[in-house]
Amino acid sequence: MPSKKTQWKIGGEAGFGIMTAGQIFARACTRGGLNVFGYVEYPSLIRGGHNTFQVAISAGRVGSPVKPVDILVALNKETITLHKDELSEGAAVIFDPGRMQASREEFSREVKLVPVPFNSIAVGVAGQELMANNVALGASVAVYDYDIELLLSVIRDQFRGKGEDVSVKNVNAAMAGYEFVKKNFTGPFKYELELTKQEKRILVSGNEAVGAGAIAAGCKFYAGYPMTPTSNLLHFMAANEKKYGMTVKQAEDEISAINMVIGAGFAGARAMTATSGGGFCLMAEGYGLAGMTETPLVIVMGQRGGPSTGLPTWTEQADLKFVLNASHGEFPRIVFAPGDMEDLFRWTMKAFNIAEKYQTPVIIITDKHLAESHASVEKLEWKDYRIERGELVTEPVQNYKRYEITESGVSPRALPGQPGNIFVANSDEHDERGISTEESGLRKVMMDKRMRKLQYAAREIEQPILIGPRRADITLIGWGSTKGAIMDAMDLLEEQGIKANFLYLAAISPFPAEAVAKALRARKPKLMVELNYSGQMASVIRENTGIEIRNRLLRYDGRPIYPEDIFEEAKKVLSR
Amino acid sequence: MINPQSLNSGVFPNWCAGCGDFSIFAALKNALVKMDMPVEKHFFTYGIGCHGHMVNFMKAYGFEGLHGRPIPVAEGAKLANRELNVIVVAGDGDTYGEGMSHLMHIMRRNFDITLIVHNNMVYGLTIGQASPTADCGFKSRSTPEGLIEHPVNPIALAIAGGATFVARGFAGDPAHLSSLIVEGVNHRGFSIIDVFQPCVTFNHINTYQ
Ligand SMILES: Cc1ncc(C[n+]2csc(CCOP(=O)(O)OP(=O)(O)O)c2C)c(N)n1
Ligand code: SF4
Repeated sequence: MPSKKTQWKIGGEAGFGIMTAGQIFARACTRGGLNVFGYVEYPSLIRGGHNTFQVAISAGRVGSPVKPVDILVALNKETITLHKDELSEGAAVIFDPGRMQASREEFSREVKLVPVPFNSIAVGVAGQELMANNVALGASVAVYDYDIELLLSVIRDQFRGKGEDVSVKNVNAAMAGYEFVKKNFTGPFKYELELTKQEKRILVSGNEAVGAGAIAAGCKFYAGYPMTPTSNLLHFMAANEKKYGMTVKQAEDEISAINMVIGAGFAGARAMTATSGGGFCLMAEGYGLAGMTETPLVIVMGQRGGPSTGLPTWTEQADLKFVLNASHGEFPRIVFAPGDMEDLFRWTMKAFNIAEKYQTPVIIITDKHLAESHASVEKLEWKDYRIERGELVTEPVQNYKRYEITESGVSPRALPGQPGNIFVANSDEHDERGISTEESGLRKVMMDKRMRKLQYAAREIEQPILIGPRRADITLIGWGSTKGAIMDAMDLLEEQGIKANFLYLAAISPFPAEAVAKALRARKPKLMVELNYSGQMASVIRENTGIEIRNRLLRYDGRPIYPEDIFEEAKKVLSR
Repeated sequence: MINPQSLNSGVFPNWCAGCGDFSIFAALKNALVKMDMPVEKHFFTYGIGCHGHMVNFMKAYGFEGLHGRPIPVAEGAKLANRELNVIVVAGDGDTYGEGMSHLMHIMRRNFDITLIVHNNMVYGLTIGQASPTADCGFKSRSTPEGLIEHPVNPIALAIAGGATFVARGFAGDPAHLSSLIVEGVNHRGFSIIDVFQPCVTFNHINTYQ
């Protein structure tokens, strides 16, 4: 049985420390063994815009934000104005009466007003207003009747580097907020958070999950150019550069980034870059260069709202067809679109192995909703992971041919610097030694060789699975970041006795046509869920299987699809 | 020591007879011989253009990438394996046109990489359009009335950009060029050697004279 969920949300002006506060709160929940999904909304501005961080919390599964908000922490009046209609019946609104007025009449539902003077409490215990957010966090814990020690421990860790004094002040501010609510407000709140006996969880963002996967896979070189939503991956890699003996470089542009990564990959280092749609446009030529020269590398493509600069800080899945067809000419294109933090970690590790074994670039698609959200995971496990470098030549080989024609299409790879195996790589079509050729027979042989790698790679790439019951009333279909919302929607459907299953597509190219056709064979209603205008995955499925999925839940306003939306749409489909 | 003959891949250079690329290739091979480093320690990246065909003629580890992008490939390889002696063979179109920004940034980074620019003031491989170093007034198929822009001055640019070794060579003097290349490689930091390279087919202004 799915367990009950609650959602906490904090809002305020950009620059108010909303992201930090949200992460602290989410972390405090995970330390008590709860599961969370933390979702952030912010405009493409540094100061002045409206920011929110919402944390969906449950003792059971939670994979996405939900619609109702049970506690709203309003750091400014705008937060109430913008979000009052999201409040559930009996929700609590925590605000500073010194900053704004709020009255029950403003709300369409019955709410509990919890005025807490954040500023004056912060000044009282810490001497400065800067700590006001911690007062609000302490107050939230009190309303939820949760364990304040968990929050305090997270705050201590958060400010550890800033000195004992800062840490103590922040802790005191949170404690004071907690005590203020405990003293002044009585009666139980409709939702209490309880510690679970579950193992402690860790809180990771999608970017961190990818970065951790890369490090676990032995990535030694990273180059990138900042672009939302993958800038934080650049930061994560840079922060871990020394610890894991990597070289991390901010390049002058994405063209340079991918070419640097090609150079590093060619020289034998496991190498990665990340960008978003605009940057990937600039990388397209380099992507093909890696395919042509058979250079292993991993590219992370974090989608955001397009076209052009589009919606820089919002989510979308509209780059699928672009990625699947990026760069001119034909070469093995391998593309993964994992759907949650654990999968991002796992598929990133796998991407490095596939890239090296098949000597070709591998793309991981994420989007803002995955990359910048934070979710609890039990652990990121790499015990069973083996670094597989594929066919690497280590000794001098007589008459070495770098691009030797082989059955699998994979030719043993030597690295520059090795005695005896001198060869060249060439963006022009080339012969087995890498020397340019325009001869027709050879061209065909080399094309066939490169393309053959795809068939062999396909054999070791996980096939998509149907999650949930084999026989179901409806099959939901999704890829990438909609996974969490779809699974949460399945729980909602189940509560109403509707059996749903989920065809989850994480390996997208080579397209697992047979497995998809098999999964969709049953003559049962189907619903495609994706974040774009034209139903790009539905079209890819049709292209590869001939199966047309008519029911589509599409969203392209930059916001994620919520489980409630899927639930409603599924019911509509079933009633047709 | 490297035997100069062993640096020939066996593919005979297909540059036009009299092309300056022949003597740059010869000077480069001589420089490698003088450097006394095992041949496998050298790693070349090549641009796209007539000069880039050298990838087929030179028997040393090499990577011919994209037009304008041999510099970042070299940077990535150098960062991944610092034992490699990395040399970039590029055209003036590569360096001062398509890939200009990479030049500016490798100069600030001062990576220990040597860049040899085959500066023939034209786009050779695409049959003779004006390049960024072509003289004002230069007539080509893309500038039939004569170029109205002023040329990039590579030496001034490199000095202003903070390059720590800046040299001008001439394909007509391979002995001097080969010693410049040795000096450039021995220089710890980024070296740029801009080489006047006659294009006998498309540039009848900037010749061996
Ligand atoms: C992105 C891209 N644009 C254009 C070309 C076509 N192209 C090939 S070589 C070249 C110019 C070569 O000039 P230069 O770099 O000076 O070399 P040269 O042939 O003179 O040695 C151009 C424009 C290309 N290969 N790639
Ligand atoms: S076109 Fe010019 S640069 Fe190209 S090979 Fe001929 S002479 Fe040399």
